[in-house]
Amino acid sequence: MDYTLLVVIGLLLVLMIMGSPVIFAIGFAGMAYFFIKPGMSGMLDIYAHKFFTGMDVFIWLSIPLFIIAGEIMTAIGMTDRLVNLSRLMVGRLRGGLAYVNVVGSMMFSGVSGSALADISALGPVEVKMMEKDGYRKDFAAALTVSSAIQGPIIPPSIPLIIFSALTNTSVAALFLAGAVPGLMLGVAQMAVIYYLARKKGFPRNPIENLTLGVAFHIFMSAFWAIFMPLIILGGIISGIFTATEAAAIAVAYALLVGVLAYRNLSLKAFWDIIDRAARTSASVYLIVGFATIISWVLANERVPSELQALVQDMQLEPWMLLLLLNLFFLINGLWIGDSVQLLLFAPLFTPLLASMGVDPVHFGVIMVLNVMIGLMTPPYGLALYLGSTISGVPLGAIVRQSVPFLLSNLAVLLVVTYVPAVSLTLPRLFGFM
Amino acid sequence: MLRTLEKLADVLGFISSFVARVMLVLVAAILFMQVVLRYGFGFSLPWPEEAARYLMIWVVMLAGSLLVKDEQLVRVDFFDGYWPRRLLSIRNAIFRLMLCALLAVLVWKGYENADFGQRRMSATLQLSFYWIYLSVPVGAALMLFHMLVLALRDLVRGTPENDQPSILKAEI
Repeated sequence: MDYTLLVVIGLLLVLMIMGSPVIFAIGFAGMAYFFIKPGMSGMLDIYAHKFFTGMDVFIWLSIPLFIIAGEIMTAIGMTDRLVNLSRLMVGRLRGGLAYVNVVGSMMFSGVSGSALADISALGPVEVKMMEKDGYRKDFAAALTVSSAIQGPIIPPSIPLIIFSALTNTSVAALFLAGAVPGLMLGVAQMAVIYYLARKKGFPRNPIENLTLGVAFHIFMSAFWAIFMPLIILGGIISGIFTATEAAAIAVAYALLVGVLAYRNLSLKAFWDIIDRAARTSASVYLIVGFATIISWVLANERVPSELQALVQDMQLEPWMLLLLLNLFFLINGLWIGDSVQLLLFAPLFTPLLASMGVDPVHFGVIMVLNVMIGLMTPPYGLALYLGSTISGVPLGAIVRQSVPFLLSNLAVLLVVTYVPAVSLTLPRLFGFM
Repeated sequence: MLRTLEKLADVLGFISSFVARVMLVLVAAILFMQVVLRYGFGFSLPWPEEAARYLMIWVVMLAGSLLVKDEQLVRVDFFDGYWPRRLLSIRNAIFRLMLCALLAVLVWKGYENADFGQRRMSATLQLSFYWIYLSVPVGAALMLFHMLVLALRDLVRGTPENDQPSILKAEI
């Protein structure tokens, strides 16, 4: 590692802190390398070429498709139906709507692969309901932010897909590995709610005039949303579909439900969804393209092998390295987003950990959990910002209220990190490892 | 002059958005068709995978120019409040001009790649790589144009007052 690399990394950090768009800070730092490194300026065609080939990967196609499917499900009112179903299940408990918030996010995460999508889809409904029921609005917003974090751990998950493509790890194994930790996040949040509900006397919120008929009706109206993850995950896990095929099926499924079953998807709404999906995918793809160049630069400077030597010199045990990496990801998460971290660091650290005996599937879940928690840590937690917009509560107030949930999420992270069986049992059972 | 450029940017944006959307629908349709053929009829066509991959890169490069135009790119902007307004406009303009250099390299080298690829045919699509690689220079050129218009705006009018963090406008 010589000065060129330091300049590249320095440039990346300075540009980002000064407020350049993150995507271009990555791109610019990567380009600078070709001009600073002696003898590289004639090889700029590598730059354009890597940019293209980084994006030209079949599995990336599942990203726009999962985005479209999730957006359609939201547009046709699936979220209200899921919230109703969760109310049927847990509304009667003390702190009913707080539980509904968590359970609703769990169910929605089987449809969507992104935490921020969860917040914008479910958040407005949940915060409004909780406020009407007498909860503090900042608490409602904080809970919404925290419960959305579990979305991309519970499959399907865009971050897990990104990790899988970067490290050649099986998507099916990663999806299975994420299921239990995702549910654990939810259970831990519910434990916090259980405690707070008794201390602060949260209200119950049962459905009035509940009969078996009403219950059946609520269940049936959410049926199509519950059925969807079964197809997607069943297909991927049984090895029938690839992730991309499953995503294409998810789009067709959501369209069918919208057009045939609910009949409330207008052409105009669909056209807007496609626009948003194109833009969202573009921001992910462009980061992918530019980050591919940075990865190439790092490889060219032999960073992976030097890192390996460094770790060996320091005689780090795997558990110490995992602890250090957790801290590293969490600190980065304070100010950079999830996909940026995955793209820059997953290819760097996964082989290193694999050589020390940490399974890539296990590490994938740890890393995604880390970058998701990063979405809810100030100052730059993207989920916090979004939670603040949809609720109108200032950022600081949400941050204060989210502390207990942040702690419960960190506790789950610790368990997932040091008890590999939590994530690896399911993939083992299904014969992926 | 700035007004005319902004109008032109709107027209380009409208066209890019329309083309990107049509292409994205095509990507989804092609992939779904492939699934139906494979599981419904037990055979698969050779070209859909390639077609979807390359179309998607076109979608991304075109929609990427919309992200530039509508300033929907995520920035770490929590320090922005500490900058004096006039200085902020100048800083933004400088950034944009630096990024123009980056985009110019992409246009230049991207077009060179496309040009070299002219006689090579893609494996299953039998399409010249020229049309496939062209997505990068075309998209980068559109981004470059929108970036220049915004840089000009920052210098002439100043960056508009914006109390929202970029994430809220950003498409994530």
